[in-house]
Amino acid sequence: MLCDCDYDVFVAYAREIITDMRIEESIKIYGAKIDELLKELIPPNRNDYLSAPIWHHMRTGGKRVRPALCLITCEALGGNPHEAIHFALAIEAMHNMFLIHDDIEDGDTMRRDQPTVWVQYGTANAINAGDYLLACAYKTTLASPISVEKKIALLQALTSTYERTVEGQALDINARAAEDFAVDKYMKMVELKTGYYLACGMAGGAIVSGASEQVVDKIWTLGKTMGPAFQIRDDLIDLTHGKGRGGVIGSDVKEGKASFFILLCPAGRQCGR
Amino acid sequence: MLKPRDETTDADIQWVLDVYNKYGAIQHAQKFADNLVEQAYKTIDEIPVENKMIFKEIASFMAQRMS
Repeated sequence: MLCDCDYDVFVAYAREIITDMRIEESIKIYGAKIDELLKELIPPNRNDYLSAPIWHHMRTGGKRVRPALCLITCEALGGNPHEAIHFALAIEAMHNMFLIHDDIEDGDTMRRDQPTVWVQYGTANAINAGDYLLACAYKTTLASPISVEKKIALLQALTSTYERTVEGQALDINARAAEDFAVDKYMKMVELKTGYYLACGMAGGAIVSGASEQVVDKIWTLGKTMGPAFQIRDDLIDLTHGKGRGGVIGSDVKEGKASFFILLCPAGRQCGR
Repeated sequence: MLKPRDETTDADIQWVLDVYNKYGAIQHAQKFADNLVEQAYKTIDEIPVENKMIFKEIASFMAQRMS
């Protein structure tokens, strides 16, 4: 599926990146590589009603941070990023599935200043595009050039992340305007919705490298701490700069999203007027 | 939050933002996020590998994106 001839060059390149460059630069370079390989996983311009909506979304941007972190982690723990590249692509495919479906659920019409997939292609095509991306995530993981044991561990990581993230999304949607919304519920919701998802790439990179279960477990814990921090930051961006939705400030408020801020006001439920 | 999206006006949003500002909710949220990042660094110290630097760099990168 993916071109083998590029791998040795890629691995050499990766080692150079890790040792010589700052993480941000590494992510940029790995991200460009991921972009190339995504085109092999999901060829653009196919006349199948799937690649057009998927690439409409993919071309709106995204820094491919999660797959890059997968490769960086694998390499840093002594593994071969060649063996982790399939899982890195899976993470990116799943990430974009969530974004496409999330826009439908939230009724968001703009993402990164472009019309969302459901707006451009209709809800049915957007759902199909997301579903297809998820299938691609599993397909590329199954194609990983690693042992069966590692492959099963990766599939467990992917499935668990999918399961937890959807559980978090369900809590998020139903927390909107809920009377018993509180800090503990918010933390549980964002831990599920963002924590696994954030850590999955790093955990996968560690699994491929052959790291111990203890290492992988700590990476999941790290995600469960960083994820909520990241979500709070995302909420802050919505109130200060907007989220790439045509410069609109406060789209989360308009949507009735269960933001952290409402919990910090003594007037709390006033915001539910 | 209780109003349907299409009935929420710009004035409603401004009212909510004013409430957040009045109670310092934005600053408090930033501080809360900073504390979570500190916890993340403690977790990194517990990862049983010799080379923890990469995880610290990743956490630092993420923390920068949050500021």
